[in-house]
Amino acid sequence: MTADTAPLVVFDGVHKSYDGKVQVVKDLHLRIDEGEFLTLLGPSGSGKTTTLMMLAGFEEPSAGDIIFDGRRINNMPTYKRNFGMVFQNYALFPHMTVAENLAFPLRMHRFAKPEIAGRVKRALDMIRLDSVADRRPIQLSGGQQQRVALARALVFEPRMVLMDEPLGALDKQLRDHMQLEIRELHERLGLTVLYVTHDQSEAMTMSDRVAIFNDGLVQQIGPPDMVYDKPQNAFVARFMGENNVLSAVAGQVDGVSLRLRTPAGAELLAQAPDKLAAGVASQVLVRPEQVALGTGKDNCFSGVVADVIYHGNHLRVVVDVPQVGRITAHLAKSECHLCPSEGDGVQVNWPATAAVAFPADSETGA
Amino acid sequence: MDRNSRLGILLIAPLLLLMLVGFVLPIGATAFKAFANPEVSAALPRTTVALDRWTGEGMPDEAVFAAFVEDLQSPQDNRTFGALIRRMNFEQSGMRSRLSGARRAAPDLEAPYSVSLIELDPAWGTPDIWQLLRTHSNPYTATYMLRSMDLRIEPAGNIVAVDPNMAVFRELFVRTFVISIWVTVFAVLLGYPTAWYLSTLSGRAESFALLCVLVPFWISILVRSTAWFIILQREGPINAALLFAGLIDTPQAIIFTRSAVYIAMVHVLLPFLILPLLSVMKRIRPEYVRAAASLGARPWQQFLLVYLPMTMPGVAAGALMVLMLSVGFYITPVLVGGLQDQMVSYYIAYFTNTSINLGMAAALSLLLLLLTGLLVAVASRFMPGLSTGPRG
Repeated sequence: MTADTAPLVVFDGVHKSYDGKVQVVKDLHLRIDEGEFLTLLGPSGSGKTTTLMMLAGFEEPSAGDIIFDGRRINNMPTYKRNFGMVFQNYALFPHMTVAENLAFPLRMHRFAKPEIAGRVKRALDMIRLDSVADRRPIQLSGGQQQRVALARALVFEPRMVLMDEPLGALDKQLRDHMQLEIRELHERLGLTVLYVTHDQSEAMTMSDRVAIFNDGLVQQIGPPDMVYDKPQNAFVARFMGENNVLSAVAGQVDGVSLRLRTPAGAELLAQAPDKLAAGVASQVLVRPEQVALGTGKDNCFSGVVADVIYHGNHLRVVVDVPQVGRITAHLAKSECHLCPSEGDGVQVNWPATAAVAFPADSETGA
Repeated sequence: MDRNSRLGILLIAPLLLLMLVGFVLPIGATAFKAFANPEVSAALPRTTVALDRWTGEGMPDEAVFAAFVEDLQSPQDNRTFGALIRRMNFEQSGMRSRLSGARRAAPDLEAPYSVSLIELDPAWGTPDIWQLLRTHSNPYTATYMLRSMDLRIEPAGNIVAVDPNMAVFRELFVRTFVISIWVTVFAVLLGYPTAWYLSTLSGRAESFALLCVLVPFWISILVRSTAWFIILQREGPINAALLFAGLIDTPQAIIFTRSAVYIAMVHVLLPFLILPLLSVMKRIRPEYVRAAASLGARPWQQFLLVYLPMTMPGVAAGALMVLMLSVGFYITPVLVGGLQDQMVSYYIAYFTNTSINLGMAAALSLLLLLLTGLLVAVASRFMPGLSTGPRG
């Protein structure tokens, strides 16, 4: 991801509209470097799948250019693009055996017969499924089908692999396992991967960079920790993980922090990535894991415990704070001795650096 | 048996009964009729017994003649004797006058009958006629089935081909299957692209297009065939349009040709191909063809290697339906085809309604059923997707 190497893929001012009225993708500028794992993350209808479809060649941009390896590929037919692709429902050919499915891209790319046999064998080894080579896809479990689809997309050594919610149909345990497996393949083979998902934890686990889509626009792009810790707008902050959302009015800047006032009159301290003029209606977002019980220096309020929910590795304490609103705090198991019970009066606090303030009307603003 | 399966059987019992009464029994009765041969033994019971004792070599003895004349003299209703006459005349022309003559003369004949009967008609002095009666005094016969294949049994018992000028049925069966196979081929060639186009539509356009397929489907085959009769006739709209456009000088003969049969049959049967095919195509998600494209398949490879094999179960189901229906087609060829375009059903109707030879009608039906079964067995062996059923 060094700046001096040319990127493998560039989206240069790409727009897409199906009906000429609604823009599904608006002015997209995106670069993907060789060997990078980039995830497009967003709710459904945000334009992430359309972006993938345009790169795969199933859709044409309405405006702008898609450059691959220095060449404009806007109208290039899919079969010439040489991208491996994994679909949500796997799209394994039901009339072919597993081995025939794996041999299909090699036949299409006119590999020699012995070469095909060797590669299919190696691919089956790679996904540890040599025992099912002669079965039909329908006879495999979901996880096995997933691995075959992955192997089929990789067996002809494409320049790039596109994945459209490939793990969406698997149960959670298998999904977690496959995430690591894909990540491991990516690192071992040096693959360039464009991955589409609506699951933010999946995006965090696997990606080098995450591009967060909403409403046809990229809201923020960067490494997972950056988009999680330093969201650039309220949408990103709310979409990535859980948040307490508090309404307040911006006041004066105090050192590195901004002072805000809640409708009930309490004063909050928060960070403001965008400048907020005094008097602007704002939202303050605080992650539950940043909220501590007890007294602290900044943002310390008293309230009453409304609920305590057991979550396995942590506890979730919901506190009604009259001056601020309802605050959820995550408590590690090790802090269980502090754990209050319903109806207890408690103090909550969070550091000024852990709270972020955005204008209240900027749900989607870039 | 648990409660659910008992309930299940109870629920399908009316259907099973209907199948038995409306399907299994008629087919069984037809199969029986194709071999039944009751006429001789019913009309000539004593002769049947006497002929049974005869070796079949040379001339029968006086006992047979006596039994025969006694049978002829005995009072019996004309229907039984009429059936005998029709039956024997079908086997050998000329038997009608011979048997009627003998019956008329029988009351006045005097013993020894082996002399007086031969004096009346020298034909009774040849072994052939007695062998014929003896052969058909058996209550079962293969004659009808053999005749359906243009074969016959000689009085001596060996099977030979019928005279070439009487051989019609082999050609008829070949013609029936040739017409049916071509109708199926045309229906697949026309129906596949149509079904594909329908499968790409959605919303209002889809409903409208589907209606265009279904409305003709709801109209009776008789009405649609008659419509083609009107469209294709000499003074019909097609000839009128061609004349008006100056493309032809005189009206062309379209009606009563093989082409007319193909046009009308394909039109009548097309929905049977389109509907099963459409339901298969609708279930194939675009991802499969997209996956093929992403793996490097050119458009024609995407179609031939992925889409076509995946839609084969629909093609097979539809084509088989069209094939089986066209094999039994009757009304459409009768209305728009010439005599040379008639199919087996036409002759089944002829033997049932006109010549009242139910044995022949039954034999033709049975043979048609067997050949169709054979064809389906062969087709399902070689047609991909038929035995495996739809998947995915």
